[in-house]
Amino acid sequence: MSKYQVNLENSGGVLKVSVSGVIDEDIDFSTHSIAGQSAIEFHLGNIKSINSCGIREWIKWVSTAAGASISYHECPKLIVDQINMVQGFLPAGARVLSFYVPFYNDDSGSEKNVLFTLGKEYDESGAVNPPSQTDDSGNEMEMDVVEAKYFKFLKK
Amino acid sequence: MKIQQTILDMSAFSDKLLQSHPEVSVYDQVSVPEVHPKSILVSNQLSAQDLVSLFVEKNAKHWVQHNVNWFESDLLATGQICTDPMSFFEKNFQLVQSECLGQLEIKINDLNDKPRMKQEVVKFVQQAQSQNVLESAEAIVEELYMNAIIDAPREAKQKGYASEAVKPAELCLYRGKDQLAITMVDHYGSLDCSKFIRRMNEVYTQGAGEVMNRGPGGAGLGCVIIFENCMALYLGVIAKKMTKVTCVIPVGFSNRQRDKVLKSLHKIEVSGK
Repeated sequence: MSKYQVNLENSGGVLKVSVSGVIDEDIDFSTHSIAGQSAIEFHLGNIKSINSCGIREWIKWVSTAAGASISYHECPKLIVDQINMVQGFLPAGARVLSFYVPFYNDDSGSEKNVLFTLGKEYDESGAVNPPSQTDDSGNEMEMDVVEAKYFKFLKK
Repeated sequence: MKIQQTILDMSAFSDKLLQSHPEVSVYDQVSVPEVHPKSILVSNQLSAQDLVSLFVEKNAKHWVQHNVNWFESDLLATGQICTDPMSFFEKNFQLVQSECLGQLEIKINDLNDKPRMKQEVVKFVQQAQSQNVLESAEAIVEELYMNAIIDAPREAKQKGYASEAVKPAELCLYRGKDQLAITMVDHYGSLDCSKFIRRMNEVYTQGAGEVMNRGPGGAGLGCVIIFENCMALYLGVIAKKMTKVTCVIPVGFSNRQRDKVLKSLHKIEVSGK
C-alpha cells in the first residue's frame, strides 16, 4: 500500500487536488500534472507528515502550476509550519482558505485542532477572531500557538 | 567547574556543580576570552537563530541556555562531556536525568526498515499523550533517519572510506518525566559537525526557501527542522567510526510553553585514531 495518495479532479474549471499520507523522499509528483490549469485547490487535511525532501518536492511540483490561481484548504499545523518557515511553500499570490489551529486547556492538558476558515475565524487582512472552544468535559480551551509566529503567513 | 563572571547569577548553584569538573570553565559570550574544548558558554535569552549565529562566530563547542528546570543538570552533563568526550558515545550515557519512564531501541539496516521504525516510534511516543511531542518526534526521526541511512554512507564514500557494509544504525528513545531524548547512531562517522551548524546558520539567516538545495541529494533543511523541534541538540562524531546525534524534547508542555524553552547546542568531535 502506497505511503501517499494524490487525487486530481476537474470540476467546473477548477482542478481539485487532494494529497494525503506521507510526503517524503519517496514521493513522485511527476505523474500528477498540474500544469496549464487556471485554478487549483489543494486539499491538504489528510497529510500525515512531510520531511525536508518532501518540502523540496512539493515546492518543485507547485511551481509547475505557475500562472494558476492557487488556494490551500484544511492545512494541518505541520503544513502551516512549512508555509511560515519555507519561502515558496505557499507560492506567491496563493491563498490559504482554511487551516487548523491547536487549542489547549492548561489544567486538563486536553488538546483539539480547530479549523479556521477565511471569512469566519480570520479575514483578508489577517485579523484573527478565534472561536470559543471547550473540551469534552466542558473546560474552556485557548489557542495554543504563538500568534505572531503561527499567523505570520496571514500578514503577507 | 570554574564559574567565570557571567550575566547569569550562578551563586545559587549547588556545591556538586561547582566542585565537579574543575578543569571546565563557564563563561557568557561577552566575557569569554577564547573558547577552548573545556569551555561552556551560557546565556539566558538567545533565540535559535541568534544562538546558532554566535555559536559559529565564537567557534563554540558547548552552549547551554538557562532553563530553570534543567540548567544545573545540563551543565553537569556538559561538564562530563568536556572532561571526557568519549563518555558521550557510551551506550548508557543519559542526557535526561529524571527517572526512566520508557525506553525504545531500534536497529535500522536499510531503507526497508523505515515504515517499521516509524510505527514503533509513534507507538512509543503516543504514551506521552501530547500531540506536539508526537509531531516533533516524528519530524526529528525523519531527518535523523535520512542523515544516518542516506547521507552518512554517501559522505563516507565521497571521503573515500567505508565502502563495505557497516553495522546497522541504531535509533534510541528515552522518556523521562519531562523530557524525551531521541538518539541516532550510525557507524560511518562522516558527519561534519561544523558544516552542519554553518548550514543551520545559512538557513536561518538567508531563509530556507532561498538556500534549499533543489538538485540531487538532501534539501539541506533537515538541520533546522531538527533544531526547531528540540530544546537541545548534541552533534557527536568519532571520525570514520561513529556519529551520534541526540535531540532532547520537552514533554508535558503546551506549544506556547515550549516556545519559551531556550535551546542549547553542542559539538563533540573526537579523532578516530
